[in-house]
This record gives sequence, structure tokens and C-alpha cells, in this order.
Amino acid sequence: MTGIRDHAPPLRQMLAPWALLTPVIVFLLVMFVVPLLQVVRLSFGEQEFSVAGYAAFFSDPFHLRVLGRTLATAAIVTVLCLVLGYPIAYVVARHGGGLGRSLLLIVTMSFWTSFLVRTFAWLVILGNQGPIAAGFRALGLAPPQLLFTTFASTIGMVHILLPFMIMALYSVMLRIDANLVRAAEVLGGSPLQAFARVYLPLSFPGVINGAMMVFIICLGFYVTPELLGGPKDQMIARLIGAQIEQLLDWQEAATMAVVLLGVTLALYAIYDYLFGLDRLWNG
Amino acid sequence: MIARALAILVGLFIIAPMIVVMVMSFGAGASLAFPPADFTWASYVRYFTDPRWMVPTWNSLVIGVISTAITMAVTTPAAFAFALYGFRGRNLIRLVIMMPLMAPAIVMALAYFFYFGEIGLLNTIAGVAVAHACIAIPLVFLILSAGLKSFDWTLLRASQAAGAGPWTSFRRVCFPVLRPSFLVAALFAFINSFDETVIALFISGRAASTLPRRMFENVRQESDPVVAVVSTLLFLLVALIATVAMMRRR
Amino acid sequence: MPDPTAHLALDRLTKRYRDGQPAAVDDIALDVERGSFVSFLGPSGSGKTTTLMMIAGFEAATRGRILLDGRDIAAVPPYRRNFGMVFQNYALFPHMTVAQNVAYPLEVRGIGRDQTARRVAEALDIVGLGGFAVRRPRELSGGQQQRVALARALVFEPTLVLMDEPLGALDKNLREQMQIEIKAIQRRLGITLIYVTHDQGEAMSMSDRIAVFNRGRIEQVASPLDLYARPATRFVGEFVGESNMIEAVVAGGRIDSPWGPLRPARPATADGRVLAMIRPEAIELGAGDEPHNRADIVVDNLVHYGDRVVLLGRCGTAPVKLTAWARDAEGIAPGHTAAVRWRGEDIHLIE
Repeated sequence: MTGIRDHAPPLRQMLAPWALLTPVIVFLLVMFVVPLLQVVRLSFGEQEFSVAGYAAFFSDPFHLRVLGRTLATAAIVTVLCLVLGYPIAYVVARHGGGLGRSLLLIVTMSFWTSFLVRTFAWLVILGNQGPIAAGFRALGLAPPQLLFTTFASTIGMVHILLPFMIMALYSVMLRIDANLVRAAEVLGGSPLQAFARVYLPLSFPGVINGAMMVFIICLGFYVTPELLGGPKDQMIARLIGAQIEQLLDWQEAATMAVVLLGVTLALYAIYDYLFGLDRLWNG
Repeated sequence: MIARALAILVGLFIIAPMIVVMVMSFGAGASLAFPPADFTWASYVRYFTDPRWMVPTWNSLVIGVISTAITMAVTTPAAFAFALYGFRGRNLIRLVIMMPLMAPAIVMALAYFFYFGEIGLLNTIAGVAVAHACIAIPLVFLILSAGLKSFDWTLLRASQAAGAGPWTSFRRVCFPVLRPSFLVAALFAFINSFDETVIALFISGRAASTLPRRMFENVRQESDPVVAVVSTLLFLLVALIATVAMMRRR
Repeated sequence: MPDPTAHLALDRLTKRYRDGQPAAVDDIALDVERGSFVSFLGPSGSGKTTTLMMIAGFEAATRGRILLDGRDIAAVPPYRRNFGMVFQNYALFPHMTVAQNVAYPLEVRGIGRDQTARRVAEALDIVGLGGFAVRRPRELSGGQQQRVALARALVFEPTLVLMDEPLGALDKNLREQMQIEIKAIQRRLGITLIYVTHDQGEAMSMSDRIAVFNRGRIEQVASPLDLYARPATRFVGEFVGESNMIEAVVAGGRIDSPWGPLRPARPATADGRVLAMIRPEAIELGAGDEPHNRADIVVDNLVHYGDRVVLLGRCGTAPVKLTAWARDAEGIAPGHTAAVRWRGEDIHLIE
């Protein structure tokens, strides 16, 4: 079949594609690349070039702890999202019908509700005057401190990122040929075997995509840990935010930002090497 | 099946918080008590009459419109370039276009804090709009590209065989059929900007404070049920759009 | 040399996508008479659609000319060529109603509203969709959509209409019905019609002449009857209808083959290797009286295809594959020796 490119009318073909691409390239260069590069430059010293900032960062146990906690939290949230999200994605993809559609609607609505709104919802629920505390009191128990804890921060992040995981799983699961599982069962496997040996492996691309997205967003998460977490749950984004707002140590802020950016880009690079970034965008 | 039961449970987990917030919005007291002591529209009234809430709302709307306009203007030609032509460096350019999606928001917040400070866009509506335009580019590009990919290009040939020149064909056949993609992309870009919290928090300042920034400060300092009101309104808006979208898909 | 009186003439037309690659269309020549129905018949990739697209103006020729009433139209863009065109996937504008679709060519030509409405109604009547004006394409069945596409291609009264496998997506009955209708409309309006298809039955039933395409070249242009009875090449003989192809050798007035000696009504013109074609309907059961134009086949296997039968066996020591009509092969089973014969007039030599 002749490519789309042959269908472009002759007039359009005279305009070089570069004329069409120039606006977005210029805009991104000026308004995105340059600011980022400035941050990188800043991390190497405000006056002269030095790696002192990085040396300080990586030798400070506090910073390393924060980095470690950020990575660990991201991992935990990712696993939780996977465990909770898989059943929903499965039901919506395989069974559809009324239940499937309602669930999809709920997930979609949650997906498009801002992080802030959902974080606020958890502030209410876990608060001292919220329904959970009320439940404790109804049982005659003193309600524990739920807010401003690691637990609150984690559950908030899981709730917010769950739709991302579900969407990633769902879009891959949709494409799994229903006949494959039927074939597995007809050949003598129990439903559980068919699921484990046929469906599950086929859904791995969705698992990986979802895990990638959730993990990366979690690394740079600011809003939810800031509002729901306690002073001991510092994640790296909160540190950067604190620098901007109060501490004003620009080089340190830039250093941390570059570290965060570096880890994020490294993850993307690994994904690209293993699978190709196209799969993430189009999967 | 177990899967069904699990799915329902998780579904409830997802939706329950929103229900709680909606109930909260009918409380009047200055606390986050649940269930609220009274059941009144007072907080709704307060939202719509208090300039400290209305000004940021208006700012967010304006910023949303401006940033969406910028994004659409800049990204649409690029999407067409990718769909209509082969050219060297496709993958590199596509990577550049996707970059804003890959950079964490807090990093961009820091970057814009400095950059806009230098060029005088800090704490301005224009600055926030530009920042939001940037981060919406990858999203809009993906949506437009998908729409262009599923466009039946033989329609253009049919139009020309019928006697319409290239410009007429684009105008009368291409754009009308692609319009839904454009609208969806613009809608997503607008919502993205309207909800955006992190960057706005640091670069909008008092002068150009956005609604999410106002809500964030409010939650951290005062705990006002008006936040529940705004949350409920935003959520209902999203619910409406999502339901309409699913209806039309049928 | 192209015929100056032809409505459309292709003169040494070539399309090569990349240097060094084989040409998609290789130096073809064709004259299409005014008011005739010509089919481009061939397998996929044979160059028939590419040729059609060059005629329409959507592909540029690498070499050669396309002449309309004697004038080279290479420089004319597709939207000025004034050909009606029907695409394989109908290409109806989804955002317009049926009437708006059909009115489109008239509107872009600046024809007034009243006249447009009248001619749209006429065009819809011709294709039998009189009451469908306000429907949308997605509400129509495949056959109805195809008729709208046809109406849209005819409404501006073109003298030449191009069709690219328009009936491919329809089921057999609907296809046959549409074939009859298209042929009737073409006759009635006197338009020149070029029809691309890979279905030889379709081409045979509708065309005045058929151009058989293979690998970018036209192997033969002839009327359906001539094509069937006297194919010019092995490809044409095998592509159109069922056939028995026998490799034979001509030497000193005699023709020998694995099936035995052959005595065609029209003798060979030169010595050497030759292909003898016998259509299945010419095969008769029974030994006959003559020593030539007959074969005794030891049958190893039989394959039934409903209307025809393929015998796989040996004639002497040579393996043989014979296609015959099922009725003529009644009673034959593996292990039998089938005696078959044919008449000299039914042998067609391809040299």
C-alpha cells in the first residue's frame, strides 16, 4: 500500500516539513531546554564550575537516606498499585459488560481528578475527625494518629497512581486474544493454569509499562507526600520544594533536581534500551 | 470469580474518597469534620462570593485558555509534519517533543523559578501559561498523532477526484473529520493546566495565584470546607465529561 | 503507436519507485475506445492499481505518456482531470450526508443550488437510492455505500470513470447484482469505464475488453471470449478459467507430449517447445477411434471440487494432472485407467 506520504496534496508537499516543525522546536528550546540546562549549570556552582555540590550531596547521610527512602517508597507504591490494579484491569478488559463499564468509568473519573483533590480527600478520611477515626471511637477505642505518617502518604500515592497502572494494564490486556486462554483450557489446563501460564505472561508488557509510569511519577511526587506525610517521610521532591520556599540554597536545590532528573532519565533510558520508548507512548 | 470480587473492592477504594469529599462540601464549620455537623450550601455560597477564591479561579481559567491556545498552535503543525512526511531525524525530534513528559514537575518548577525570574515572567499569568503550554505539548502531540493515524487519507483522494483542489480538500474534508481529535486534545490540555499544582505553586506568586495553589495553601494552613466545594465541583465536571465520552463511544 | 481516435491511450507507461528495483508498471501500452468497458485484470502487485492511479493523477509516471483524446495529461493535477472515481473502500465523507456527498463535486465546480439538488436527485435515482438523501454513510450497508460512491462519481457527468476493485468487500450475491447494475449504467450513459479487479469472473462478465496484468506488464488485451479461447501466454491461460497445460515438443510436423501425440486443428508455426492448452469442458470420456488427441491415464488420486474434478495419475511413465468437468468424469476412481479424448479444435497452442 502506498504510504500516507503519497496522499499529501502537491501544495503541501512543497512546504518542507521543517517549516511545520519549527514552532514546536523553537518553543521547546527556549522555554524548556534552556531553563533545564540552567539548572544543570547551577548545580555545578553559582560562580565557578565545581562538583562540590555533588560531593556534598552524596557524602551527606541525610541526603542518601532521603534518596533511598524515595526509591523505596516508589517501589512499595508501585507494587501495591500492581496488586490492587491488576484485578480491576483484568475484569474490565476480559468481561466488560455493566460491571466492566462502571469500573472503567470510575477509573477514568479518578484518573482525571487532580492529585490535589484526591489528596485532600485522604486528608479528610484519615483526619482526626474523619470517618475512620469516628469508626474507632464507635468501637470505644482511641483513634491512632493516621495523618502525617508514612502510611497516609503511601495510601494517598497508591490511590492517586492506581488509575495510571490500571490504564496501562488495561490497554495491553485489551489486545490479548481471548482465544488464547480458551485454547489453553481446551488443551487440558485448569483456569488457574491457563491464567498463570498464558494470560499473565502476555500481560507483562502492561505490567512493565504501568510499573515504569507509577515508579517514575512516584520518584518526583510532591503534592501528596507534602500534604499527607510527616516530617520523617522526606522524599526528594519535598526537599527541593523546601529549598525553593525557605532555605534558598540554590546550588543544593539544583543538585538535588539534577539527581532526580538523572535517575528519571536513566530509567527511561533503560526502558528504551530494553523495549523502545515507542511502546510506552503507544502501548 | 475472585477477580470480580477483588475488582469491586478496589473500585470502591477508588471512589470512596470522592464520595466523602462530596459530603464534606456541605459542611459549614472551619474544620474537616466528617460527617459534617450541618448540611448547608453555605460553603458553596462562600466559594462563589469570596474574591480570595474567585480571583484564583479566574486566573486558572485564563491561564488554561492561553496555555491551551499556545500548545495547539505550536503542536498541530508538528503532528501534521509527522503524519504527512518522512524526514530524517524523526526519532530525535519526537524525543524532544516528548521530553516535557519525562521531566518531573518539581524539577521544572525549580527551573522556571530561576528562568522566569531572569526574564521577568515570574509571578505572572503569562509565565504560568507558558510553563503549562510546555508540559502539555507531549500530550497534545500524542492525541493528534493518533487522530491523524486513523484518518482515512483516501478521503483526500476522493475529494480531489471529485474536483476539489488541495486547500479546498483540506478545508472541507480533512479538518471537519479531524475536529474531534482537536477538541479532545484541547480539552486535555486545558484540564492539565487547570489542575496543575506543583509548578504553579512556585511560580505563580500572589499576583497570578491559580486555583490549585490557593487550595494547596488553604489545606496546609486553614482547613476550610470550601476546598471540599472546589474539589466536588471539579470532580463533578470531570465525571460529566467522562460519562459523556463513554456514552458517545457506544 | 497509440491510436489517435482512442478516448484514453497509454503510451510506453512506466512507474519505477526506486532505481534498480523492478518497475511496478513496465512500459505498457493500451488504447481504450470511447464508451467501452475495459477491465484491468491481474493478481495483487501486478501493477493494475498503480496504472489506474497514474491515470487518475495520484501517481506520477516515471516514463511514458497518458493521452486523453490525444492530449498528454501528465501536467494536469487530479482535481482537474474530470474523471469519475470509485475507490475500494468507498471513501465517502463521513461528516456529510449522502446528498452532501453526491453534491460535493458539483459544489466545488460552483454549480448553483437548484441545479445541484436536481442533479443529485437524478444521480441517486440512477443508482437506486432515491430516498436515502439525508442518511449518513455510517448508517448504510456496504452495497448502499458503494452506490453512493458511484452516484458521486457520475453526478458531474464525466466521460471517463475509474473504479478500483469497488466490489471486493461485498458478498457474492450482492457483488453479482452490482456487476449487472454497473454494466447497465455504463451502457446507458455511454461512459468509458476502466475497472480494476483481481476476479476473472467479474472481468469476464462485464468487460468489452480485458487487459491482463502480470508483474507490471500487460500480457494480453482482448475480448473475454478471445481471452478464454486463445490466451497468448501461459499466465493468461491459467489465470482465466481452468485449464490443462501440456508441455509439448514440435518436430517435423508432429507434436509429442507426455499425454501422447497431439493433432491440433491449427498446426504449429515453428518447431520447438510449445504449450498446449485444453479447457476442461473439452475433455470427453472414452477412447475414441483416433490414435492422437487421446490419453490413457492410470488414476492414482481424484480430487473433487464440486463442479470439476482433478485426476492425478500417470500416462505411461509421465506424471499427469488432468482437470475435467465432474459430469464427464463420473465413475472414475483411483486404480482405474481413464481413457479420455478431445477434439483438435479444442487444442490451443501457446508458442
